[in-house]
Amino acid sequence: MTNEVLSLNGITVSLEANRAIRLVEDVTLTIERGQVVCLVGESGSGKSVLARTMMGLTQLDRGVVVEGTVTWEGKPLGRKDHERLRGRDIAMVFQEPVGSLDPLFTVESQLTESLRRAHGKIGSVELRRRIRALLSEVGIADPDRVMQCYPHQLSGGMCQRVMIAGALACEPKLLVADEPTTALDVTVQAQILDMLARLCTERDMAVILVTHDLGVAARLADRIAVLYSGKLVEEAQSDTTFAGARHPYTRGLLECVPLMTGPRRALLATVEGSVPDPADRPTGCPFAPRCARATAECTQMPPMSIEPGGRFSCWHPILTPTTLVGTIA
Amino acid sequence: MSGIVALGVSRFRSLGIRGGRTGNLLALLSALWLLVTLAALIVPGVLAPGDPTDLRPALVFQPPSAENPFGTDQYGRSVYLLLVHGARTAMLVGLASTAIAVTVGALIGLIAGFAGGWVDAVIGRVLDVLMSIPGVLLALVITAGAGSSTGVLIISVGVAFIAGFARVMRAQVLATRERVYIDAARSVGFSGPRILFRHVLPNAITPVIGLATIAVGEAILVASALSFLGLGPRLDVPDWGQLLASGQPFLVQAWWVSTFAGVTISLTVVAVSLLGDWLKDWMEK
Amino acid sequence: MLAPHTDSDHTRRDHRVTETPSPLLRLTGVSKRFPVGSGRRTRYVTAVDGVDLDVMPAETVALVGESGSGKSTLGRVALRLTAASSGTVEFDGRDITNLRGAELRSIRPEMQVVFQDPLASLNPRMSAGAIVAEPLKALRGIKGSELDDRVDDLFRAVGLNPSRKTSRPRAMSGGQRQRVAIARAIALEPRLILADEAVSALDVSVQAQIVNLFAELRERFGLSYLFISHGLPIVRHLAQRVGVVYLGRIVEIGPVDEVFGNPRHPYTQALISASPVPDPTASRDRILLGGDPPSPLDIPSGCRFRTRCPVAMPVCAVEAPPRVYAGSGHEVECHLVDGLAVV
Repeated sequence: MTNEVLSLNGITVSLEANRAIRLVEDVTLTIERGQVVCLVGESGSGKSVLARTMMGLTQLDRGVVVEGTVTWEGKPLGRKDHERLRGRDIAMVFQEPVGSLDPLFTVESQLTESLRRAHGKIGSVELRRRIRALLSEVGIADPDRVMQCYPHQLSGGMCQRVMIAGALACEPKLLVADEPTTALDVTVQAQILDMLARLCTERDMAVILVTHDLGVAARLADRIAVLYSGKLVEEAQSDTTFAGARHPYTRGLLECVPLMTGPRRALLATVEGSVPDPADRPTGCPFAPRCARATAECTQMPPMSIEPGGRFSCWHPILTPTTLVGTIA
Repeated sequence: MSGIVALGVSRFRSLGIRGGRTGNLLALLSALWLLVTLAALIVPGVLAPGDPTDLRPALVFQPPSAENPFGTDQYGRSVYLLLVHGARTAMLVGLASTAIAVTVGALIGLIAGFAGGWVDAVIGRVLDVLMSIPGVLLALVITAGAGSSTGVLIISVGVAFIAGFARVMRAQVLATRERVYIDAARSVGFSGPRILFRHVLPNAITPVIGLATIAVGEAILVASALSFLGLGPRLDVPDWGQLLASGQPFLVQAWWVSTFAGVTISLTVVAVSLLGDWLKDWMEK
Repeated sequence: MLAPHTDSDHTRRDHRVTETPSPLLRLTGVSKRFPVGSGRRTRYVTAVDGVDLDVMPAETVALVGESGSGKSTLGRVALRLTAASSGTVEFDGRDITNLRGAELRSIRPEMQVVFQDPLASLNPRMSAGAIVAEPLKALRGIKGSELDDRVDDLFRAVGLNPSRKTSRPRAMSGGQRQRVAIARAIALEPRLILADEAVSALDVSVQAQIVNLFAELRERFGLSYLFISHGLPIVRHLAQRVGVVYLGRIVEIGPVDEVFGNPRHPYTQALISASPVPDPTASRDRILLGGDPPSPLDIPSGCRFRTRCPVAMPVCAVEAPPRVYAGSGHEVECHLVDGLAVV
């Protein structure tokens, strides 16, 4: 009996108009029950596209072609299967909380909709009880009042809690959260992250968290998958990643994050250059043009090297443990 | 009739053929037609050699044939020759009146949108009044009062369109005003006029340009309508509207007069509209 | 460094009047109110409430806070992008509080702004070169080859290849756009730059590059910065002093090491605690704040932070907290910080 929840196999997402332009290239990733996997990347990394592919949404988009397979509990998913899973076994939470809720409906109606879709007909008394329970579970102190509110009457943090409540309504096995706290204030973000961590353990729910913030990943992730320009460059346990990431990009990213502790530096470490346009991606390793360790070999795409702690795709991985994060000579 | 054509054009547009290859093809066809019209405007003699005013009683109401491709009217004049030579007036009125409307209207809209306050309020009310009068009616009133000459026709049609442009420009300016780069320009220390003309105007004017090309078509229509009603200038060569009118009582026995005149007007209006649409899309890219 | 506080100095401004040079920017008792609604129902939102702030020459002062704190408004009032409702704003000793029109425009070159959204802050219809050249052309009358040379120099100063002069903002990356915005800001050789969340919209790796650029330019041109941010770690590296803003007041201010190393205000402590740390082994002792950042329409009585404060006392609802001196240049507004002389 597999522990596997969702698996991506050789997923490539390209533009229909120009198949050479790839938003995501050959990504293979497996998520297990109750696991939190953070998809980390900057703009142009393809992390959002990948998250939507997990939901089966990219496959429905016009103008893009998705190759490779998505499997659920070992079985490959077609469009219909995927649709059946959405809102039942897989739920999604988005970045913009206020905009993602329908402004015309109260919290109660929207949660009712989610519950009905997942569990079929439910009597109104039972419905209200469940909604109240869900809202309390996401840390809302007065669920009866909030139930009657419209999205614009709630703060960003509240809206995000409501969105998460809606996602939980179907008791999903997998929650896909695309930058759920990026638009929120840092104190609210801390509350939401703590809540997600708690929910994850309480419900034995797997979570895919898309983020650009390594601090968020450190807080929640069991495993971290780093994407650069559409490719999965490294995937490892959280501890391994922070203690000694192998890929130069991951290292570079870790080292340029400013810290609240440790010495104050005159200059931050940086990763020179910028993310290439998908149309201008070099053959071979996409990070090579910015990498201090690149050689002629890097015009060939490096294969995935597998280690006990994780895997990475690099001809010249960094084998030393992470020193003081963010130092520059 | 102008309403019907305008409605037809907007329905056509709403079919969503705007972008893509079909849209580009239509734009190309429209451009070609307009080039023909322009040629008719500049060198009518080349496209249609002969004297359009030649009255030939022997050839009254001849159906379309080799010598007279669009037939003849009640004076024996070749309809084809009349249409080609009449293009001048139609296009001239269309272009000139639109030019007036765009320049004056855009300026008013620019000032109203940027100044705000009571300036905007006053201008807004004036525009409201202007817009409440249908364009044709307004042009009619002016022509009826000031007499019929090409100049009056141009001005009256132009005035009828000013309000529309002013409104669009004002709305654009209001939106552009709030943009961060305008804030940035203020913070650098640029003066009001510089910000208005160098930063607001270029960014606000895009839809106005597109609208202007469409308006040329509508101006031609309105001018034709006025001529049709007999309020147009007295010319040797009747303009398209007058030709349309003259053939109207004889639709049964000589359908070709009004038909070809009407088709020419419609084609030109549609061509200008489609090209204007395409231009608008292209500028917004 | 400011001279240490002594017992005899009780008046409000004394500790600032020492052997140090005079401030480049001085805000005294600045408030900013916005009307909400109209007619008889007009209410007023106090976005900034009686703030004092100094920025010294070649100093970077950061303002941190969450949404609704008023930090952006404070920055805009400081640079006279908007008028203060009360209080005074002095730049280089000159009272600029009530300047307008041409007079206000004449001081603009000395104080420039870099905005949060690089794409939005650049005119989409102008090329990068034209955007940077315009201040020089319009306000300094420079033209021809001298203008070209200056623009090239500015591009190089911000790490851009001058060949990018002809590109439109749309064709550039976020980092490049922000560099163009910075080039425009330094074109007139200002003395003070307001950076309003200038790196918040950028990727992590690009943020580091731009922060470094700010630091380099500061060294090279002796610039002062008023750096507004909601991200504490960035501020820690770039700024010398930091002010924590909550609902329109600066609740704690001082040297960065002091404020972040030894935070005295419960809000500062909560902010630091909530900042995500890229280290899974870091302690998770969190000072969790309940509720959401409140709206400035509804400011709590007494201490405005009391509704979210984990250690609020009865007096906090009744009396506004005093401003207390907590170390060299370190001030806090809180009832809890007792035993120290009142500022």
